[in-house]
Amino acid sequence: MKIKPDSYMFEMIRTELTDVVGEDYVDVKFADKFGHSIDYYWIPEMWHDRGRECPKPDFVVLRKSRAS
Amino acid sequence: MKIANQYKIPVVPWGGGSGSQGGALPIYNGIVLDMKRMNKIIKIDKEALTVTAQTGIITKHLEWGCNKEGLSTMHLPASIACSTIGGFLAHRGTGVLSTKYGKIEDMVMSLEVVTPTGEIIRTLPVPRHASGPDLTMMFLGSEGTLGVITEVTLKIHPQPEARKFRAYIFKDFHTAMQAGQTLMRSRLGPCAMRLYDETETKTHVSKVFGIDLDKGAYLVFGFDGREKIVDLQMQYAREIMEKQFHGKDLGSKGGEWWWENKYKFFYPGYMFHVPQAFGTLDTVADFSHIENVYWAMKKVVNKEFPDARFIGHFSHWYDWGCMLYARFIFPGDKVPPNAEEAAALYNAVWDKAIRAAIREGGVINEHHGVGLKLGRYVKDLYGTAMPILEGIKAKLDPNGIMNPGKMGLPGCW
Repeated sequence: MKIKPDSYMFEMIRTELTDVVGEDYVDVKFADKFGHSIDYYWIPEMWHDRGRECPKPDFVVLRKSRAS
Repeated sequence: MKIANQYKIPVVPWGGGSGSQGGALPIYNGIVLDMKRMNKIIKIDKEALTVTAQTGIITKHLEWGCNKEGLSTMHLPASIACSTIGGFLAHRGTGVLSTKYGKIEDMVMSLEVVTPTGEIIRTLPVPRHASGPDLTMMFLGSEGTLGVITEVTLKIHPQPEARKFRAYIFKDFHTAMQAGQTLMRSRLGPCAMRLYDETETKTHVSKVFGIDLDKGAYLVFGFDGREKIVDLQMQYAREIMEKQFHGKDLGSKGGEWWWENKYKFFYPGYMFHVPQAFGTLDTVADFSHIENVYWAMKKVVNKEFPDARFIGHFSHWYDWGCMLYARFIFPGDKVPPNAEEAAALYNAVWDKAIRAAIREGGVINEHHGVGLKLGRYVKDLYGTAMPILEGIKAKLDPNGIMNPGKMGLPGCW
């Protein structure tokens, strides 16, 4: 994402997302982002195993329905 | 989706996170849209025998919901306990009963999709029609690059009265392949069939079963439905295996070993893991080409990467051909400790093996999808048809926000 995490614009987007799905369903905690940075592909698992950092999402959004 | 499209933020749909192709990795950061809260079974239609569900449902939960009504999706993949049905739709996944009931794309009636610009659309309610091109098929296998599949209606089935298996050991892989092909050409309609090459029979099947199988290639198949019909199908199939190809009969017990242990192949202790380097080079080709694909992939891995072991089995069979589930495995002490060097070695295996498969009439994947791992081969595979795929992407996702960097399709990052 082109918007830096420590910018006010990042917070603007986060609050816009929480307005749609609720505060509890937009995760920006490290653990949640880390858990969504590795799947069953060997490369990111190896990358992590070597102590390297994998790209993480800025936001993990959990929707309950498809319509707002 | 509308927010993401307005600010041009990447969106990556995420199901169970069990994919092997890197299809759900947020390589350009942005939003991961975790679908697992959209996990409801909306309707089971006992008249039409269909189930409608949200796509974030874990596949096992969907199956249990159908089982309560005496029905089944017949979609039984090894990752059933940890993957969502949406992941299978996005990657054209499959299950162990594919030979009779089909891959996921054969099971779908219709889809609901949220497009990259935020519109909610439905594909036509039935899959068999002459009402124009099939948008359902366009979204199946699009791996989140064209939108988010949010709801699906699937065909479901009554539980069979009987499901019976039988297994054989053949003197070599080629003979077993000929027997398997003959069974498929007979149109007897097995619900499953699996053939393991000599190496995998010796190193893997024996270990999972806890039995020292004879030297050769292990072939198992089964039939399901009304018991009298199943018995008749089995009788004809046995004639092919025993009279035409002289397979050593392991009996129904030898077949049950596989059915009872079908998921165990992927459990800890039986599956490969880091620090080993390993990958599944799955592909599919028609019966005229599949053996050449196998030998070409095996030859290139053995020749170019002598530290790697190559094994293969054929796990999904169709009227016209079958799928090769080939794997390579490097022991941990042969994998460079440096991450860049390890990645380069790993990618080199894919470059050689996948291009060998394409040359011999195979494709880049059969049921795991393309993702990040195989995106660079999509142009090779599609050739002059590639601009059509790119044009669909550009039309549906003008800002390139959906799962950028996957499937060899352009994104704006």
